[in-house]
Amino acid sequence: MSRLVGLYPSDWRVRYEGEFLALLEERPPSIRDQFDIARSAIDAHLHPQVNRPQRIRDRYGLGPLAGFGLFALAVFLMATGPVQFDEYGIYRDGSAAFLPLIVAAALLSVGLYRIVDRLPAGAKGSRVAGWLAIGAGLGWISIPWLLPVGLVFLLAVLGLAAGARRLGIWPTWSFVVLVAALVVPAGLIAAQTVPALVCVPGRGSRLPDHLRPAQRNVADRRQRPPAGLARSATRDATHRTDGPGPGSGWLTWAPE
Amino acid sequence: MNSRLPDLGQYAEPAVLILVSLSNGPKHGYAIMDDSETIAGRRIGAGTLYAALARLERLGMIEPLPADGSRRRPYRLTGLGATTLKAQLEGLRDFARTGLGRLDRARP
Repeated sequence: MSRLVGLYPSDWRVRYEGEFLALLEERPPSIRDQFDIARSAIDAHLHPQVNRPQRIRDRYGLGPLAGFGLFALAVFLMATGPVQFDEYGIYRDGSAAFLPLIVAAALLSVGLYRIVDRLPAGAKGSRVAGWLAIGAGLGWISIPWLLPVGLVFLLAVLGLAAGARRLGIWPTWSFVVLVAALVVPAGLIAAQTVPALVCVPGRGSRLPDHLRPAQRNVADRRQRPPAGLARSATRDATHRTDGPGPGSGWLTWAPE
Repeated sequence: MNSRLPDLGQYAEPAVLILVSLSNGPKHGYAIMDDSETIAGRRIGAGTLYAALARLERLGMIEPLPADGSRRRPYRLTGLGATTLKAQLEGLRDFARTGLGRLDRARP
């Protein structure tokens, strides 16, 4: 019997020899079984990858893993970009993250499609989350400054991952890693977008306190002439006809 | 595609038999061979059994458990294996229903 097992490649023997010999001892092989073993040994030599355990990159695909890494890089670049101060207020310049974000979203979309494709027919909620994630991801490539689209993308990815874990397509550790990686950027984006979405101008709503100083700074700078310039008493003719009207703060600055 | 079993060539049928055999609990190789004989009426050869087991393990559809006192190592179905088996069997059920329906309609 060990002569038959010797037909197999060494990788296979390291993994299966003990239990295979135990099986052959319990059920001695007939002539037909011996042919079957010889044929399977040839197959094991022809397909050596079958005898090695599946690597992480085999399970998830190299492209989506690279996309996940690029996404983490883009979030890091956005969070650590140089601080800018202009008419839009104080913000971090995340333009360096633009290219990694585009490539990441494209690669992740491929990975998301592979997961959606593997979902069983009954998993309608997970399927909807998957297609929503793909659509929002591709949308976010086109308009990366529109953070609500990014928030939808991240939440849909988390929904799909939860479904994949529940259905057994993903092991729990993969889900935990993904949640740990996405919960911080999702939280940051939610903190930026949700208050702005809740506070609809003209309905008496107020921005939360942590957003108000930046707005006040912008208003102050609109009213205060830059150094070397004096406030003009007259409005610019163009602004008078096309601008928002008197009292709106659309003032021009003329040299003193 | 919907979670169907990937193309396993000549090992596709033994793979489904193994998944069905493991669907009611972990089993080692000998028990899988016996159970397959009971549910399908034909035996899987030892070589074919381990070729299919290696493929299913690599695909993450089954996983080995620690060996018991002897060298025998039991295997059990994973969540992915259960999902895939369910989709596979539902596909076979629809296929059988279609075939039987056509036979019934064609019968004089």
